[in-house]
Amino acid sequence: MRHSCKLIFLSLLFFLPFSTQAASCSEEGYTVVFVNGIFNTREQAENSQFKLQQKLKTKLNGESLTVRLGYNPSHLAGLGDLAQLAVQSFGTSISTFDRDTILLQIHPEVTTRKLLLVGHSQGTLYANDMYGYLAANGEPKGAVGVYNVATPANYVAGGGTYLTSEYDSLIALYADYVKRAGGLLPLAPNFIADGSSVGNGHSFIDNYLEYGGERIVKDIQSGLGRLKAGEGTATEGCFTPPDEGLGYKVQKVFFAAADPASSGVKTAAVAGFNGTVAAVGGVRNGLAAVGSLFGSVAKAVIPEARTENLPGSHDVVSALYGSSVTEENLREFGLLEEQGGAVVLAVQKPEEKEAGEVQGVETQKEEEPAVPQEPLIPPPPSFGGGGGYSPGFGGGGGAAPAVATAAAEEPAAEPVVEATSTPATSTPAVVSVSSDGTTYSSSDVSPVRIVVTFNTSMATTSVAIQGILQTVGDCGDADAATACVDYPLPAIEPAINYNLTVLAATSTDGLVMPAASVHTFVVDTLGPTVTVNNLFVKTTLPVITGTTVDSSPGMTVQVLINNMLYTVAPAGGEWAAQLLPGQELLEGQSYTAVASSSADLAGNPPGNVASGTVVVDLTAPALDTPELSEGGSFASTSPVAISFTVSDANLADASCSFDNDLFVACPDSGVFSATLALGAHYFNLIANDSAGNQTAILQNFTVE
Amino acid sequence: MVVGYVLLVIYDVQRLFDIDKTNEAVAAIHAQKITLADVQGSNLPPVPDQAENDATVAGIDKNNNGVRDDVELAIFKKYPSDKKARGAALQYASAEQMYLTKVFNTETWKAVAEETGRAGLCILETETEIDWENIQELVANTQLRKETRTKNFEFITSHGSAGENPCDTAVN
Repeated sequence: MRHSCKLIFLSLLFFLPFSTQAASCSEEGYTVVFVNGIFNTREQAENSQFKLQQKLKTKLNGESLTVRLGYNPSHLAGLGDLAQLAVQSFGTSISTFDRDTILLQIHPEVTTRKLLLVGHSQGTLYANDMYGYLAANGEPKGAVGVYNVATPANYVAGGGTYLTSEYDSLIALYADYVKRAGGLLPLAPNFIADGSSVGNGHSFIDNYLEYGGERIVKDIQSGLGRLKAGEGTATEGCFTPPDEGLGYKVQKVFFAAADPASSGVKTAAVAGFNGTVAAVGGVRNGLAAVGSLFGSVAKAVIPEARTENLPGSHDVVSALYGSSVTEENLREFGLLEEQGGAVVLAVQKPEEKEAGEVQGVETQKEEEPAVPQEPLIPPPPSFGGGGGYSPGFGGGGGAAPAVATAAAEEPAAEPVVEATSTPATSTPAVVSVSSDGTTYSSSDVSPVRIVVTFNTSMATTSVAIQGILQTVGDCGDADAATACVDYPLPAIEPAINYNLTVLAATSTDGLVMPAASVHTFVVDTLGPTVTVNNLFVKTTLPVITGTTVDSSPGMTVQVLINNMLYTVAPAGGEWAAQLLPGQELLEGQSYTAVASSSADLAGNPPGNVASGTVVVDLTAPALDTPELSEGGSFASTSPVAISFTVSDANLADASCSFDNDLFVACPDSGVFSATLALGAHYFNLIANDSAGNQTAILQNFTVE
Repeated sequence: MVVGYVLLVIYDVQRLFDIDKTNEAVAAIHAQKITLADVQGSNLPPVPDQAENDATVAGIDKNNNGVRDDVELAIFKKYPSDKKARGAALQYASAEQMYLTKVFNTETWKAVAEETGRAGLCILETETEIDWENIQELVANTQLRKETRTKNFEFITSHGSAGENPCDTAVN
């Protein structure tokens, strides 16, 4: 009966949302929602969330911090995600189904106003997308942030930061793919760490958390710290969840049917491209079986392959799946000629192009690059004004930065200087770097601006100084061929050569600089420092010594002692000032020597004034054995114990021995003893003072 | 259109039929707790026969505390004196075991994930570094169990952690 009632109301229930439970939204506490990427196993996605919680701990600023999983599911054994990823590279999306699913699922889980979306890989595209949704659906400005790891996206929503490893071969291949296809270039790598190249360098746990964990924690804590709980507009929970309309439900049922039907596809794909082709065919067959109702959805999810191979697509797939298949293999398989490599990353050809739209894959020809009509990087979604969220290219968007910034503090939608586009017709090359041949000293105001000038207009530039990636920005000089690094000068003494490497650069027409460009400048921002050695000397005309950090030719050290000033040239990091006859010091006296370096060759004034003590000691230690005279005797029944005294104002050490035994440090008690055989013996005593004066005695005696 | 509607109705019918069963299972998952006696080892099980223990997914749990006997003994061996760590490890093992034995749909997977998340937070509260991944391996120690865990993870969904108090027991 109960089930019969359910059946009666089925039609009505079908249109009700799954989750209707009310949830509160607290101003206290922080929620981090981790959105996983594709190609992780489900277990890895789950472990990533907990690993992140483990790194972040459970408190921040005295408030609770919880990490939730916003599970980004994989569809059609990954092929649907690849298609989605490929389409997303053009700034649009096949559907919002997954985004809405995640939002619906996390709606009851998000109970704090302050919310940070942490995306990994393809999950970063959803994190960006979700930010726009939340902004328009109840979350106040400043309460939500985004932090992206290993992102294929060309921006971070909300002015958030990101972390992409230089060793992430997957992102590098993806960048290569979109470059060739005319899509949106991902943000430039901004992280290098030893060991982070393990595997394909893309794993959230094995690469990013393992080798960049501290940076990730710091970035996330910083991102959370910037969030401010404000007044939201949602009537239930922290935001208004998406509507589970008919379109959503249709896709849900579609994936419920198609995903299991495609099980085993990934395995086939791993086996090689033959398998991949078969797999795609299998999925298509599976979709066909679902029925004509879903035909349009199927077409959207797996677009038609374009008519020629997408350069580099095999590399991407190979990296994704860990396949060892090479392009040579593909030729052997006949797949390069049969469009096999293009199938997986096929991108649906846009039906129509509007003026200003970015060129799609079908237009790409490396020999004849098309000059883009609009910046490649569209503005990210922003809070307030502007008509809500638009993740795509709609209307051509606003101006975008010509150079990807490593850590944008402000949304890229902020007004930027309109660059004068230099005709981009040649392979990008560095023309000059303003720091070349420069020595930066304390007279330069930090940070110093280093201008990298190219031979063409640039879209992205990646610069490292001493192996550390720098934030590269527009120079504000209306010249798209320049990129600027504002480099905070480190405190350095003595001078050190610094390497500036332009690691990678892509022109606005998508051409890539063929090789890194290495440059050198000098940093010497502190004055030279010296030390003065504390000395005990056994001469009245000693050599006063010390060290210096800068003994370059032309440098001097001035030494003042006993009211006499000496100027000497240091060598090998040391200096020495010999007192001359007529300037004798007095026995038993202690003198203070003061020294300072000259300004260094970069003009930095002396870094310090050092001092040391010089003690003149011409007197050797005085020794005595008051109870033993030369030729004395001891009773045999007891150990021989010899009392002695050592006197010196600057005594360093005293050593004793009987006969030919090894010398040992004499005990503090002033008594040295040993059990000796009957007969003739002698006692040795040697003492040294700190100035190097030495006294030794030898006393003969007999044991009877 | 009609075909699609019928398919959707069939989908919801099945879902509604399963609701009662699911609710009971979810309640049971959240009710599973480690007790102080478990942590103190008052009811420690004997060493199980390995072949018999590994013959099934669930294995042997003679003292019926939700932690498979071989895993429970391994945890006691690893944390012989640190009761707080032992309690957290047992709680995590209990939650992990439920991935193998209590999951049959998304709701039950989520309930177990919430309990695992809570056990994870309990681990973070201890001052001992607990190798939770090793506990995962201890629980899913055979091919059968690994495959079952992976299969049950097909129900994965977004989730948080359960409850306010991370640890089942307050042990110092």
